[in-house]
Amino acid sequence: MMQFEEMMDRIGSNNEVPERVWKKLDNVLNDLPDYEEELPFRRRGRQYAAAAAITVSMGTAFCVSNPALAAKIPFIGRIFEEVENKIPFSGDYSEKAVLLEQTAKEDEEGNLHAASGVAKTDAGITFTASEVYCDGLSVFLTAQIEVEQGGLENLPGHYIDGGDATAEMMYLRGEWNLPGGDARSLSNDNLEGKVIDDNTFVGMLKLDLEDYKSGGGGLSLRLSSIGWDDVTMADAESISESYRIEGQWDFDIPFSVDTESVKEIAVGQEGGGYTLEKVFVSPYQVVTYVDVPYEDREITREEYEALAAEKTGGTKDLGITYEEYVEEAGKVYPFWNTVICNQDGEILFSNPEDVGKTVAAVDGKEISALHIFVFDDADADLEIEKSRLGNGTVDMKRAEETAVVSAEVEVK
Amino acid sequence: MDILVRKAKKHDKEAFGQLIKMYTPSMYKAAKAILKNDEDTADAIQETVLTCWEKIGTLKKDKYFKTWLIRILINHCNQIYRERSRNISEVRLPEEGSMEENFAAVEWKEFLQCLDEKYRIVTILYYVEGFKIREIAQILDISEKTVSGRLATARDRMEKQYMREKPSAVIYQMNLKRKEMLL
Repeated sequence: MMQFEEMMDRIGSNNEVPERVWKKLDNVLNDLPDYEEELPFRRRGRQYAAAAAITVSMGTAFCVSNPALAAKIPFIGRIFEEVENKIPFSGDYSEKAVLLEQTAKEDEEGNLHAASGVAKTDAGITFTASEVYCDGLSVFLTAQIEVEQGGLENLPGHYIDGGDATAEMMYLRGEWNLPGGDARSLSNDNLEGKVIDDNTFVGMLKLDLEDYKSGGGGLSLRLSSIGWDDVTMADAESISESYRIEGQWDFDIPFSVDTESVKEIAVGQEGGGYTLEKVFVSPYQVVTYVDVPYEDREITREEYEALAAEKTGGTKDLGITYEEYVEEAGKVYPFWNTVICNQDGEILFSNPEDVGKTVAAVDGKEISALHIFVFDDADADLEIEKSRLGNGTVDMKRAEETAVVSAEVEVK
Repeated sequence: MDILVRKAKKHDKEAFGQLIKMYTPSMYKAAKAILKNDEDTADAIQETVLTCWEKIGTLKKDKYFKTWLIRILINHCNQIYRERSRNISEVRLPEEGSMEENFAAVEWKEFLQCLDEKYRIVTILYYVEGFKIREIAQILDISEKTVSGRLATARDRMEKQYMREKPSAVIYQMNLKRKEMLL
């Protein structure tokens, strides 16, 4: 057996690609068609009223205790417990989460059905919101999805950061906002969790707030489509979202903020025009804010009008004013990326979000201090991310040498 | 890596180019395991790059870029393979090769000749590219059981072939050494 594996090792270590293959590759890379980058238009002018109460009185509706509903919808009320260690941004939520008040309606045969306040059905899909938690940085919402047509057992699993654990995912599209806030699109915000049976999925949705929020609020969530993958589908180019069901599932969900969990740490470390301003640390995530220098780009009214004509087919109504467009697109930012490690040099997997903001998952790592590196050069950043040594830690000495800003932040 | 993917998703040509070049050896091995010749392999890679460039905005999770890329590649390879099977009268020129082939290159040829395409591809994806069985099942649209079965069969056949042919490989090495001594 060893000989076979040794042979495969040798084949694997030979990275020679023939010249003619490289030549064809270079030809196609030199001739790639251009695509225009989608600019992030923020919608304005759609303000929403404060969240309404979620219990809905419907004739014979009444509050029931969990055991009664459990017979019909067994996972409601304990979805955090079911998925919290199996998803990105894993952690112990179940003890802190608030169970959404469930009401039920009794039909003529005396059967219980989940509430219309937290459960909505459209297009053959029932979306039931279960629990909510907010650490001031994100709102975490669990939900159960029931799909009449079935097929969820073909949902492929995806490996989550770090280990052999897998999670499944359902794709959500629509909008959400907090009271008085702008509507924000659900783009990469998915329900991550697990398939229960061919018709049922449970998972958690994480919605990142723009800024730290200390007071309670209400989440207004308006879903317009629910999608999922199917591993049996032959169309490999659409590796995700084999099915997408359009519909309407609207919710108003109140929540309070767990202010005891989050620590805000002012940093103010500068370098090369970049400033690491502050860090937020919660049991589930670390969020860093960097002030990234930018250059102003002149945008003429003619450019704005030409873009509006192109994008709207001549109606010239982009939905935002010229001044708002200049505010959005008139700043040119250079490369930036923030790498966040704990005291042992273990990297926290992260994604940059809005300019200067990076959100990283704690995923159960111990954090007594953070080493934060801000890079203004993609090669230096890539070098550090690839430098992960055999034990999963980065070369922090090298990171300090090549980062434009580096800071050590005590957390405990 | 994630940064390159993020930039490529915004249709940054330089980042996309870097990303593709990093994965070209992987694409080459996987495509050659199916198609066996460099010309078709180059075509498959070319088509894959164009498809990726067009569709990269639809990639949901950046870290699954490689899985996604290889899946697209396999589809293009299968397409070319089917087209080639229909044109059986087409004459294929012999592959250009180096006279001084190394041992790994010899083993690679043995590997290509010894196994059917469906066993070669799972072997390459598992042993060389390091994909897990579940990922291979997704890439090839087959069940995990089928992947495991094919891997076991591939190993069995290669073990027998390799054990039988090892003496000739050893002789090849001995001949090389003898040549060096003479020179």
